[in-house]
Amino acid sequence: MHILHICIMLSLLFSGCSKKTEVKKASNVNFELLTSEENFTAGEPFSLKFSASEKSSPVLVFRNAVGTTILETSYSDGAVQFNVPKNFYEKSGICYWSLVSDAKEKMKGTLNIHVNNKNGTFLESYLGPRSLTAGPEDYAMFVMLATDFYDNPLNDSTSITSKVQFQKSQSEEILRSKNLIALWTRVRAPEKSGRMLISAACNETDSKEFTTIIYPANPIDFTISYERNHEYADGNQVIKFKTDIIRDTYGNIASEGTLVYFIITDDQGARLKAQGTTLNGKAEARLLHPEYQASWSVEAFVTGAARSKPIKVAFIASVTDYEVTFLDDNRTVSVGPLKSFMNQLVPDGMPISLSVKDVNGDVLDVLRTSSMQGEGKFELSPDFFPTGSYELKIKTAGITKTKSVELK
Amino acid sequence: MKINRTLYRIFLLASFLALNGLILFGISSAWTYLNTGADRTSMLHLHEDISATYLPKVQWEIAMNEGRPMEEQTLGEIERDYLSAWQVRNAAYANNVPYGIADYYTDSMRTELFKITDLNLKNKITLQTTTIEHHPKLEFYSTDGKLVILTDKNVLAYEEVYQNENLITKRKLLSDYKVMLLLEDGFWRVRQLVETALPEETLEVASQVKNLDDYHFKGINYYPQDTPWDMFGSQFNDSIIEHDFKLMAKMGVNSLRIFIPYESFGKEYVDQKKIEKVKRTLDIAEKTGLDIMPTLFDFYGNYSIHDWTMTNRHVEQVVEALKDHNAIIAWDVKNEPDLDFESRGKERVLAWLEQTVDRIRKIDTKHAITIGWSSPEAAVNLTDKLDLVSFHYYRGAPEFESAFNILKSKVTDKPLLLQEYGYSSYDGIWNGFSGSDEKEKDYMGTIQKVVEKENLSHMIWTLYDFRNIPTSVVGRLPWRKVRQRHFGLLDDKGEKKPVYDIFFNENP
Repeated sequence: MHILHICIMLSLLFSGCSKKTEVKKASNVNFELLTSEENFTAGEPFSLKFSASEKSSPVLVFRNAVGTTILETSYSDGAVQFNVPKNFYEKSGICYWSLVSDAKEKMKGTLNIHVNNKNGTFLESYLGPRSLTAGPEDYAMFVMLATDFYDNPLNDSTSITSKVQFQKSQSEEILRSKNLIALWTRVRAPEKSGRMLISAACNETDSKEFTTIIYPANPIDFTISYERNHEYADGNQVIKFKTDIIRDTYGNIASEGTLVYFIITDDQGARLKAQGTTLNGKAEARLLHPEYQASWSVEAFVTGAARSKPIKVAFIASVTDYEVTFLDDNRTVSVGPLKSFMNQLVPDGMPISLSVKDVNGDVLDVLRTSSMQGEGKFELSPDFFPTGSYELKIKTAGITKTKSVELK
Repeated sequence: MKINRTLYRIFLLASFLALNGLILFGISSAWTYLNTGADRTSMLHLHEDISATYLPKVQWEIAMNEGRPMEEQTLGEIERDYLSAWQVRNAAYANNVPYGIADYYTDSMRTELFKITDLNLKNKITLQTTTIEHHPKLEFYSTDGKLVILTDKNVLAYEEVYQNENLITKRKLLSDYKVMLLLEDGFWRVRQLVETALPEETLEVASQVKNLDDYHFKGINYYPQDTPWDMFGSQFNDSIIEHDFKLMAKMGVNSLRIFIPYESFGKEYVDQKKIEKVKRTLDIAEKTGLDIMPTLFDFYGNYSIHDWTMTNRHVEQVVEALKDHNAIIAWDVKNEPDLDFESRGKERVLAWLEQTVDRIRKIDTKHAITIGWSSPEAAVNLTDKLDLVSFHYYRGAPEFESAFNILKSKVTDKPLLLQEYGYSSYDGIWNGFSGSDEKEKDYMGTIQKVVEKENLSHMIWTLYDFRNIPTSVVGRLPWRKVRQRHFGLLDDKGEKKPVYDIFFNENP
């Protein structure tokens, strides 16, 4: 008996676990599309009606470019009606529907929702780049996207007017849309610098105003000049280098702040550099006069774009000669007085150097000082320079004097 | 008495030491536990590689576009973001949670998507969608590099529509789109998506299989004896394979079925080193006169629509690499996929199989395609898609004939292949010592009579008794594992088992 019970229990257990098989009744309902219209306008509600050969509850799967949904069913006068939801009838383009009943696709079809031109046009426009350089090589691109009230792009070959204003000129261009989505035009930069305004219009809708700034093109070669107080190499006055007004090919004054480098090569081949930025097209740079007679060659550059012709600047010596006195058994060397072109004492700070060589011609030390009240003084300490003979070389204002001395 | 005292002492000392040891161990484990946690480097928020999870086939049509010339770098970014836009859209419609939409659609476009997700959420409609192919062509690229327009022709998509979690319809979609993308916040976002002219209906690639007309499979499901289910792993040894292939060729076998696992072959980025190993195997097969039927997607079990683009990339690389080899006789898409019907859903598995067959057919029209169904009853699925209908049989030998006849009456226009059959000669504690080599011989003999009567193509499971069965094959349970070890024609020492004579008695 027990075994029988167990068997029954087990069989109940297993039958309880087994899956129920669903029996689907094959139906042969036939449907017919009652809505004859295949073309609709965006924003206007519509529905699709079907008649069924017998009572059934089909569903309509509806799809457009954005997504898919299933429409709610309603019944009227024996017909099955599907109302297309708002977000689907507002979107233009191709729609696909498929009528499914009892897990079988019974009918399918497509319909077209057209752009609605009645409720006004929206114009979306993009301009870039927002700055240009003058001249026909550079351009900005103006892209316009015209949509209807429901954000559907207007059909191909819709005409859109693009308008450009620059200084006294104003122009319009009629463009035809292409590629369904957007149309574009190149806006060439004029030859003058300034601000250019761009806008578009389509079906009485105007876009907002766009600005692109036309900057001057690259500068072209220019000339430079200099100004100075006198021509003497006194190491004290300042010489000022100037450019003329730097312009581009089209005569626009170079952008403010254009960096100009002045490269100076002296007669020894040494280079000096000064720089300045333009203001109203002109750049300036300053340098101290040399302390000795010199001849400079000056050239200016706008890196990568333009250069000037080189100019020559000559400085004549301001100190023509000076005296050197040796005191304290030659251990004190006094230079000066240094007198300038009007016999005035040179301004304080004129550098003076003294190099000390031993008998073999090896440089032992170079002592430096600068003038004070037109004079400079060196002390040769016995701690560093023991008794013996030395050659002393004094140099200042480009004049060198040599003397052999015995230090005691 | 003294011995007792010593014993006590030893016992006390030992237990004292043991107790201390335990306490120390306890403290140290607590200490270790408290010191585990997030890796310290996680503080740095270092960049992590995100692997792509959506890889439909994308073929750019390269032509001069209007506007600015396209840079390769930018084109790559556009492709990445455009595909992500499709991916997030598919994901959003799958559960009506618009996660990630804001990254890949502009303001006005995303509201349109939100309207649909809201509507579908309300009506309990979900969509399982994936796109399979894209053929984009760049139409326009703006001078400032912030706007592109492209046409995407023949976008092949698959969609399943569910309401209240019931499948309403499933379909393949083919559409042409015009897409406008804007560069916003570093993302190329979809601004307009317009479906243009109606595309032509899908042109399915027709099978051009010729090599099967007079082909009679007399084959073996092959794994090397020491590396079953891991033929192309690190222990791959072509001298063993060459030895086995020569042996089988001598036995009179003309074809072999080998297995290409999905995951260990690198999934969507197929490991070329393993492909090389397969090629070497095929070379040996060609030399020894054996034809090979590779079984793809071994150990794959996802089938999810969101995984299609990944499996497609896998199969593309494998089939493309091997299709021109002379040793290939047919493709077996998947081993026993019907066993996943219950856990994954029959519709889902069949949909995956169908599209995978299409994928293979698109790349290789010349070779036959089959699916290794686990039973004659399951083999009626998708027969119109296949060139060869394969089934396995492991049930009682006397019932084989009737089961086969039912299948034969249902499938009349395609050749049939008994792709796996065999019997375990295991004799041990787990089956109460009820098996024997003789039983194996009897079983196979009964089936073989039907096979020969019907002149049925067949492939035996398997050449060898295996020494080890990986856990991933039949699980951990020992009675399953040991059974699996004894299906061979040759025993684990390579000696012929009695069953051998049924097949190869004519060859001395």
